[in-house]
Amino acid sequence: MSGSLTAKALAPVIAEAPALVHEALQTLYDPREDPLDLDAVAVAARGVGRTTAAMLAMILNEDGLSEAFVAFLAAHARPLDRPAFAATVARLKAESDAALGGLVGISFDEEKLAAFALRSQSFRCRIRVNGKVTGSGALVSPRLVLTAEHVIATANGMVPKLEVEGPDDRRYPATVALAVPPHESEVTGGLPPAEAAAAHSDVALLRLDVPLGRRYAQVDLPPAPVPCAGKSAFVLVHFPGGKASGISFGEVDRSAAGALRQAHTAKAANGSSGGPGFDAEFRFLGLHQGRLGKVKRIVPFEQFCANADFRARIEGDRQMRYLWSLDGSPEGHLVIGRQTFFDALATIAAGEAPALRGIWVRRKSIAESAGLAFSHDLLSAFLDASAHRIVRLPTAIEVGDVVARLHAEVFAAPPPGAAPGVRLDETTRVAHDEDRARTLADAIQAQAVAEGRTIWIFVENPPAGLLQDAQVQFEHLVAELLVRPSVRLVLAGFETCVLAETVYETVGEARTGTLPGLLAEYIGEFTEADVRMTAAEMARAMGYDWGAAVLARIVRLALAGLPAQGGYYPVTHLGSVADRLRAEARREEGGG
Amino acid sequence: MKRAAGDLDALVAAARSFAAVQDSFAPEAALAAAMGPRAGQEPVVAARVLSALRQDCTVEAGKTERWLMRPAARRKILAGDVSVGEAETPVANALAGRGAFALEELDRMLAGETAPEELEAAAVALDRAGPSAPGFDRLDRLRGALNTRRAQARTDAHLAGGFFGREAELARLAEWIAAPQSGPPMRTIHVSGLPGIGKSFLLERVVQMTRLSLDPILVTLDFDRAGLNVLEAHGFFEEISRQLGDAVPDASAQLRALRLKSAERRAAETGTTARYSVPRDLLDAMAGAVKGTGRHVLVVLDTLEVLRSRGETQVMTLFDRMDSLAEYGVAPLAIISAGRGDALDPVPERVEDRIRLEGIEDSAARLLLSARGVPERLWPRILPLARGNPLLLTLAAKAFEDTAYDAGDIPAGASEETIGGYLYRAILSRVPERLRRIANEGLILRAIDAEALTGAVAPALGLTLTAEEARSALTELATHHWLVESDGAGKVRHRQDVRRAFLPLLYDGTTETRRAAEAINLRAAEWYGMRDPASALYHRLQATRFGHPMPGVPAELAREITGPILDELPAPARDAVLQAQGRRSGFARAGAPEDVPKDVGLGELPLPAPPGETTDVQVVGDGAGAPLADTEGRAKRAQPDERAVRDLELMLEKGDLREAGHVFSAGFGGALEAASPGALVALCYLWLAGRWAAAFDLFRGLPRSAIERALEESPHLRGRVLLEMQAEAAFGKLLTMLADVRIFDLARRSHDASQRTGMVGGALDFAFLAASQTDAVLPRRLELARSLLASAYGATDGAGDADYALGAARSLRQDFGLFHEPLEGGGPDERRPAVQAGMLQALNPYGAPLHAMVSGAPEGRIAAFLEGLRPRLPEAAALFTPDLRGTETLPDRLRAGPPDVVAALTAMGLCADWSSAHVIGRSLADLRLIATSAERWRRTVAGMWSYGAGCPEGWTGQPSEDRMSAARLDRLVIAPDPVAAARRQLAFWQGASDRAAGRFARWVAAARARGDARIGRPGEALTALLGVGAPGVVAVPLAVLTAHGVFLQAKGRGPDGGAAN
Repeated sequence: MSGSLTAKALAPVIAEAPALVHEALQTLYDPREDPLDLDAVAVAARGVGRTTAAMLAMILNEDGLSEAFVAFLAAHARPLDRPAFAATVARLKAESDAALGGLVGISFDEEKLAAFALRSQSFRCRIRVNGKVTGSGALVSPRLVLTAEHVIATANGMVPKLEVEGPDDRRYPATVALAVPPHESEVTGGLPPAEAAAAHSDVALLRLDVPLGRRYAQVDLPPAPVPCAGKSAFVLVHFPGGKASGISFGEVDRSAAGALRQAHTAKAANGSSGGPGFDAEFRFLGLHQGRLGKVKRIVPFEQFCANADFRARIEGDRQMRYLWSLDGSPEGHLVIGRQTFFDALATIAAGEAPALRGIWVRRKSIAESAGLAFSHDLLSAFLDASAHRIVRLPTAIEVGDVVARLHAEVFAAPPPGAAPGVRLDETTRVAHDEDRARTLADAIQAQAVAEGRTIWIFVENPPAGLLQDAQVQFEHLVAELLVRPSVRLVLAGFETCVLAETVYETVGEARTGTLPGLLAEYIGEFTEADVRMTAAEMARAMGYDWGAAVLARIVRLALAGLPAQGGYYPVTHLGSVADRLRAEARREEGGG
Repeated sequence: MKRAAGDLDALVAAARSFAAVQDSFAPEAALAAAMGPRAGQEPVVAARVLSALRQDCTVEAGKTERWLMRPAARRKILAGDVSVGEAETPVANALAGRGAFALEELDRMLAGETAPEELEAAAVALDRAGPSAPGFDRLDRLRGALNTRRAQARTDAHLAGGFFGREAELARLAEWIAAPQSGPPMRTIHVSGLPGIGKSFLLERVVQMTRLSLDPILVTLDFDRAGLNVLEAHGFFEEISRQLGDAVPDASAQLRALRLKSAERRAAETGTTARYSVPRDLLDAMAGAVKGTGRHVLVVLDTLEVLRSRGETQVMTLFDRMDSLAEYGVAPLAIISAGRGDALDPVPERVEDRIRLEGIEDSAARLLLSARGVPERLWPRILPLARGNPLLLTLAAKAFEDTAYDAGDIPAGASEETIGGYLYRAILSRVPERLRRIANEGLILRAIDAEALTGAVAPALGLTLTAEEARSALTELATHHWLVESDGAGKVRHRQDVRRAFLPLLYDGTTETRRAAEAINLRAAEWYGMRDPASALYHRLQATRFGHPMPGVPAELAREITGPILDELPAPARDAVLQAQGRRSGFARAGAPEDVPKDVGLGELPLPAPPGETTDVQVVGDGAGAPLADTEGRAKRAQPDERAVRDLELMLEKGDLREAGHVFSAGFGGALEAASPGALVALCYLWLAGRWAAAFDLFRGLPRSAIERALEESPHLRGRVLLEMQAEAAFGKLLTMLADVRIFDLARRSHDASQRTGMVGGALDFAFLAASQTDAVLPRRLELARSLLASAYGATDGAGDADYALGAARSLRQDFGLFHEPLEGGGPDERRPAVQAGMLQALNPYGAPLHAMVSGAPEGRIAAFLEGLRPRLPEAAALFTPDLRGTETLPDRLRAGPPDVVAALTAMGLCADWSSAHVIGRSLADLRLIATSAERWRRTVAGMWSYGAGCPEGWTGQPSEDRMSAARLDRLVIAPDPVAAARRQLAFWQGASDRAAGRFARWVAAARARGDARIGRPGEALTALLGVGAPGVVAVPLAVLTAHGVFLQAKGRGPDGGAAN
């Protein structure tokens, strides 16, 4: 379906949800290396008398990203073609009623069904072994795809070429992160012996290089299996015959708690294996295993949810505490020496340090500006846009009214006038500015609450300082924003200013602190430990089997010959260290 | 997905180059510049080019979209090779140095009376063009000129309406400014008065006058500014330097460069040493800048009540900073100030004169009445009644609108409050009956809207009000401009001056009004509930006036209760809010009598010292030299005020030791229950303030579980302090504790959580490294300790590690102008371990508690000793660190008395030396304890592990002497007259009391007993003396004397006559 996007389909979404389109483009394109921007597309389109939608459709089709774009929108509950989607939902509803209405008296809530149908399009995957579709799967974390083990098994035991065809219909190379085979007796429709069941749950986790789960959607595995309660509705997400026919409905027999396999009646075919099954509330129940005769069955979640390795791998992949690469792959921009930054972000995002209201990135050598603007890229790459909005506030001598500028950046409108009693002719300049800052901070807080997101203000360092009035305004703004619960600040530079009464030196300090403050991050050098951190995170995320000794060797090689003072390396060498780490990753992937 | 398109990259580069020399631009223009006609032919490529450019731009949305390149991106591009080409934009002109940006044009602009707009345009263009522009070096001056002109223009505009009256006050201020001070103690003429009375206006006027007559260098510090923090010496002086740079344009670039250096220096400092760092070079340069102009400096301190609200001692610190300015030579200097009420009460000696503004001038009152449209015929009745009080003017004007109003019933000689009450009631009586109670009792709400009226006020007052009636009442109320202000969105607020004057009448009035006030607060607390939690909390706090319980005050809500609203609360509620905000409560404020438990002394706190030894620091203000624990004192244990405990903890968390000291001496008047929160916080204060004897005394009284509990409950403060104390008191026991994985984990978290509180690179850090754990589980910030130890045991594989500590030591010395002669200049080889050990002494972390001890209330003898030592610092260097350079000018660089001398001694590497030498033979318990720790650290860093058996991994062998002492000994031995040289060293620290000489003799005797006959050589004697505990600074000369057969005895006791004297 490559090249299928049309201007007609795109136009409504551009008009109604430009921010979502912007976010999609940011996600699908690399904002540093290969950006595509909606504003820019609009200008270029105007220049040739076309619509933005037409131009964008053309580019997405040309770049082969139309499916990815559609999947992204679907993951964000925005079907591209609303009428067509409405028809699909109506069909699904009819199918489900037909399959289940008479059987167990279930009738799906149309709205929930529509939402699930959209989401399922964004987490479902095809599994290909040596190029052929052998089963279905689902994204369950940024890089892990859940499927049945027998889907990836090869008859001769040869190491297969594994690929996952993602929600965007693109093929991604995959490696096996976990594989628990079925029992041999299952080939003939039998059950594994009870004592061997745990070791034969027919489940596999495949690891991708690219964090597709972050880009699109993931199945949220429940913390504990849904309790068994007799016969109930069953929804299977799969690719029967390798085709994207979507969702099937049926009944699953969950009468016996602890049953090793459970029978279901949803339509399935070759290629359905490994597809995730859900109940009427769309809670995960288990994986479709296969069919023997007329009996189709699932491996219930109970059979593998307690597998410690399984849990640990998913948990490990979900918990991103350090962004080692801007795009999550070894080929992306590798991030070295920013552990404090990510520690702080992760801590804030997890709500673990209420007093920590942001980060103050300071340079050890103020003549250098490397790393300041990059902090914005890191922030964008790390934070989930659905829960965080980032506003970038430029500062320079030209920004004489910082309050007005920030207001414009947040609200795309000029600020209201000062309140009575604190107008410029009624009080001191300082008191006037303080009131304006307070009013704006209140407005931003209210906006954050209204959006249901934390608003992050990223403030760029003024290359040659600020004017005095702007400086005073800025001090007030920081003081006010620091105490707004839904606002966070990242200051890049400003080393000669006193901007926060409380500046924490470590995340630990901030965790126990009670006074709202910023965490100081000093940039300009990196250490061996920083390189080890990036390499270790890369290995963890990519599933490289780099033990301590290998890691130590790789780090040593990455730093070989580089000059250090007191164990600190100048940032000018980051590029070559990244190249060396990347080369190791390629070698690991077998490409280098 | 990166496209292999060199062509695209070139197009993007061209678009960026275009954008970099523009102001804001139409994106189409960038396309045209980069692609020409291709843009129309290849729209997809055009979109990609613009997409790349968009990353570097902000968008100004308007009628037509304009893009503007971000400053950092522009700088990056212009730093490369960019052709200005045909562009005729300001940025292009600035880059080419042409037109208005030719150097001579810029200089003309700076020299003349250029309009601020023109200056701004030039500054913006040069800022955008960056360092490649020929005129970029004029940017600092342009910015300074622009700041100055704007400030002046604002003052002039503010005063354009005319300034009437106050001649006497103006003359007094002008006279004061015309006779600036040249040295400390700096004093001010302080203008006080109610809000809105015209304090700042008066200061502005005098500034305007003196600008024309004297043209002083103006520095304005308005403490309403969030970024002014007197505790942050670097930031505070950096701000002053910024304003000096504006006023002295020729110096602005140098001051800016030094500000950056100062900021870098600040970044390098963590832990307790950061507290006493001062930007000395910057201060020197500021002094130079002022001297070069021949002008004097006028400092205007405004809104001082805000500064005082942060702590009683903050204004003291402010004036100390002013003293520093003068001491460094930023003089002559005049200070004028303004603030509400009693802002300067804590520093009466700094107030030369007070100007109290009781009311506005008659002429100003007439202007105000005129501006309000009050008929002139009423003025003669209004003016005498109002007495210049702006609120009374408003009320009287309103009252006399009713021609029938007779002010005759106001008693003669009534106070302003009474007059206000009469007028208020008179006006209120004319408000329609149905509105009157809403107008009056509605004051209790922070703001009123129709819902609050029907939901909270009406039910409490027993009124029945429909929604429509409420809306109509509010609309009518909003017309009473003398009473309320409307936000135009259905909410009205009582005028702030009305609230301030009349809200207390409701709370302190008749039983009936009090009952109504209570009912409204209770009802409002309930009604606001989840609608507006901050308002609900406010009313619950007000309800405490009537005996209702104090509610919990969540920090998030407390932050919304500020300013006048906070002032309205009863004192206990206000304190609860302040402390929840992390601010000082009203405890122990001047003028506020406090219930300090003074019936018992703090007799138990001082260390049970060796016989005859007393603590050198008072533990309580009135308990100096109190006898040691007595049974009566123990029986009368008293808990300090809870506010004092929290205040003390808050101040310690903020690192404000001075304010902590104030709270401590005012609030901790009784013997404390060991392990009570009060005792633990007191212990933390004592430890951080360098009052170690008393701290250890409390420490010893703690139960075993105290450390663990403190680590869990207060890892950032109590936990850290107890860990440090454990490390100093019983290093081995700490290692045993750390062997427990759970304790180790708690301790690690505490260490990570207390970077601002703890000593960096001290015994605790060494303990972590000695605890034989892997790097992965160790605290994050051990790099200094690791580097120190790497140097100490001469690690070879991580030889580079020592560089970190050496770099830190170098930059610390640099602050004092100290350095080692480089090797090529004949200086010592810094690779030699002994030389490194000497340099690293500058990082002795025990310099911080010594500094704190001396900064607090130092024992007079120590202060006198340090004062006397100041001019002799070069001599100290010659005797003990002969390779150190820059010491000749050191005495002149020190400005701040004994604490500065302590800082200098630490930087010289003599921290352990002076403290352990000076304490010999003296009863100085605190100094003795700190000196012991400092000496132990000194030896360890110099290669002699001195913390017991548990050496860190990698420490091989155990030398019997430290490298630094050995090197000193070598120097003494080869001196032309070793005995005389040794005597000079022993005598230098004036430790030569009789008792010192006796102590020396005892050490020698002990060494003899220990070393048998093997102290005939200096090296052997040194080993033996160090072994019996003689600090290195005396062990070295004693070793020489002993080896030369010179016997030491106490003065008058032996033939040698106590050579040490």
